[in-house]
Amino acid sequence: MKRSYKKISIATSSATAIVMALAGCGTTSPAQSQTNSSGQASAGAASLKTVDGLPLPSYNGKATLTWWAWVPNAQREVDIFEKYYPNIKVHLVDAGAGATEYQKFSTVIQAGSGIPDVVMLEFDVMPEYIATGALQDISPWVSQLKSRFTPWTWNQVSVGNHVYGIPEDTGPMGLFYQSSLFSKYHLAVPTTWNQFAQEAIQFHKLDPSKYYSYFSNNDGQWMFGLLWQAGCVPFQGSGNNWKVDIDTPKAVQVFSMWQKLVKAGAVQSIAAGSPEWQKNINAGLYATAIGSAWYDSEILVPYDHNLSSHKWRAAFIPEWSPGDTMDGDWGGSVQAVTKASKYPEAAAIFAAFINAAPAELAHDVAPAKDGGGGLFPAATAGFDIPSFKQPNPALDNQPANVDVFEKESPRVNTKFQWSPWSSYVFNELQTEIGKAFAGKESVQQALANVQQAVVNYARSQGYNVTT
Amino acid sequence: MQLPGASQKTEKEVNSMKMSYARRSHVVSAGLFLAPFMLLFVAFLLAPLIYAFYTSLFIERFGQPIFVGFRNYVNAFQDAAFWSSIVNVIKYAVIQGVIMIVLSLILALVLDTRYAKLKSLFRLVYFLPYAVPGVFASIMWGFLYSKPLDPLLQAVHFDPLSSGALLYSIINIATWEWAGYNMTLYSAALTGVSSDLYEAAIVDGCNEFQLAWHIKLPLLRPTILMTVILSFIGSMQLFNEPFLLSALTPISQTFTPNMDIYAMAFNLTNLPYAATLAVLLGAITILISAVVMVAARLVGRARRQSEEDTVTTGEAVAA
Repeated sequence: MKRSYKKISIATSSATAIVMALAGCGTTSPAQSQTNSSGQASAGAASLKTVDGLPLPSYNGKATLTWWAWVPNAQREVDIFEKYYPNIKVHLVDAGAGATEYQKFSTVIQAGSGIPDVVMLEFDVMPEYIATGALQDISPWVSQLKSRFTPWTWNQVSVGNHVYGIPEDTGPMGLFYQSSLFSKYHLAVPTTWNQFAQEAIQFHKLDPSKYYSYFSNNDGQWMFGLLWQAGCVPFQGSGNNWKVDIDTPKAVQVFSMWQKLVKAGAVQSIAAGSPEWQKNINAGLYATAIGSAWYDSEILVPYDHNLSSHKWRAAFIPEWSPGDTMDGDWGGSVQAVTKASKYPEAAAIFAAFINAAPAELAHDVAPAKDGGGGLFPAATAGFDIPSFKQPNPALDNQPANVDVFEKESPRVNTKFQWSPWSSYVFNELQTEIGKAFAGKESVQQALANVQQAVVNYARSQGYNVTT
Repeated sequence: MQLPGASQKTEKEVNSMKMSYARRSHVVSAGLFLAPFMLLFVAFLLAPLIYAFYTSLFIERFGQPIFVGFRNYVNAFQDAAFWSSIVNVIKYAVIQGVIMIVLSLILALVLDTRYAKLKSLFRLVYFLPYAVPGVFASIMWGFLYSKPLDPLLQAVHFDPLSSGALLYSIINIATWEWAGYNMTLYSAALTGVSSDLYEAAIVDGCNEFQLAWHIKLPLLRPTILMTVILSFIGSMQLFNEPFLLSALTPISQTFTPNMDIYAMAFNLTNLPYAATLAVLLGAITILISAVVMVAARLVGRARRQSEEDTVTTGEAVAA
């Protein structure tokens, strides 16, 4: 889910895949999950039954859950769930979106009271809350659902065999472009970043009053999306042991390209969400935008009131090498179960059901303005729902989910992981890239500074960090 | 004989009893008068300070506090971002302090002359920005600073929110907000001056400028010192303006120490390190304030000394 643009974070970590690879856990995992299910059976949690096509534990007790979320029309998800599980009551609380909610969540965790049972988190903050022990391992009740989700998302909610939340939605990245401008200036949709850069310079010469694209200089999450798409893996690890590798040649290449375009005036470096940016989006000042699956509903529809004349469309993200099919993710969220929950099993069932049950998915993928959730689902069954495949009126009636994002989704690099210090890392990256774009230091130096600062910070917090 | 002696003794005893009773009641009443202040002082200043210091001796690992002694302080001393934020606010405090105090003084002195008309109206007008809460002021100025919304800025090709101009844009907001407030303090100090002094000066042939320079300014010296220190302490805690402007333009979370502390505590939930930085910021602020006060006192004493010297040499010459 994307919240109000201002502090968008994407987050997560593909911690799991790497952890499994590193520790060789892959071989032990089937055995462990068997232990889990038998343990669960002995605990009386009971065998799996099929609820709306989903294998979930049957739950016979009574439970009342508190759920913090900012998905549009979330109450509808609760209503559907309660029809299938009348003995589990869910109380929905609007605790704000993104950073606002995280501050409240961190506060109640510190206070030890007022903690919700289920909390909506973005992928990039999962490692932090896993590291602080705020989340409950729900693998006994949900590990059978792994295959139903886009692979990278499951990696980012789990560490080894432990699962800490259910992926809700994702944001595979894509290129958005105004087809009106592209046909006016006879531009071709770029498929590589090389073409993108050349066309940017060319376009700015043809129409100096406009920019070819913009660079969100206040959005570290988006910048990491660019790195993710380029195949960078800045963080690897879990628990106490992390490898930090931010200042790679690839990363230097990514930001150097943007720096060059900003310097040439072809791309504007701007604070996304600012009044100036809103005005520019509305005026159609940007021929393209690097967005993701929710970009049309969260950015274009709210901010561009001239959609019919701009005629935005979506395309595959440009690649660094011709022929590559590598993508990254920007935005996406998880419903996590807290350790403080009195009913972890009921909470796990709820989190799983609302994100994977067909009855819920039909609601989840429907546009928010039609009363749906407006999500690009993490559960792949969501891709088969008719309303997901429909032509998108915001994108010149292009069925963008089918054309682009459904295909981009499996291309998202599963190796990418978020660290437990996302907020710190984002700030460092924004600050240093800002300096580099202002000509105060080279991109190489900027990334080296980020690397150094992050390693120092992580070590000061007692993490065992290698580079 | 015994009786008077005995009675004397009793009198002494009674006296001493009276004394000690009086002294005790003094102590009690002093204690009672002090209690409300002491209670608030302990509850809202001393206790949080001690707790912050205590917190700063730990790190949190997987939700568990681990005692690390002064390691957070060792890290903080190597934390370049924190020290550059300290340098930022000191630079801000000096530039903003000088501009604002000079402006406030000029306004107060001009309004204090015989020629000023509509004094109370202007005092109110200059004071009004202070009545606007800092948060609203920042939002309002944020819009004024937004280039696409401001035709004036477009005409002069200047972006107040660019990274180079940002500090000065914040100085402008703070000066707008606080100059009138400080002017009011100076005006109040000036109304306390006996008009005999001015009359005497005018009889001696002082014009308004000389009156302001030789009489009013020296009399304002203690008030100026107080405002300098208050404004410095306020500047070290700079937060609202950059925090709110960061919605419009990228501003590092480590732009000022308070933003750094806020981000540590609430974005990263790293309370121990936030406490460490808070303790350091407090210590630096207290230290610099103390140095300024002591320096001002020493300068004042040296000046008085030299004036006395001049007077005595003058007398000697006359003799």
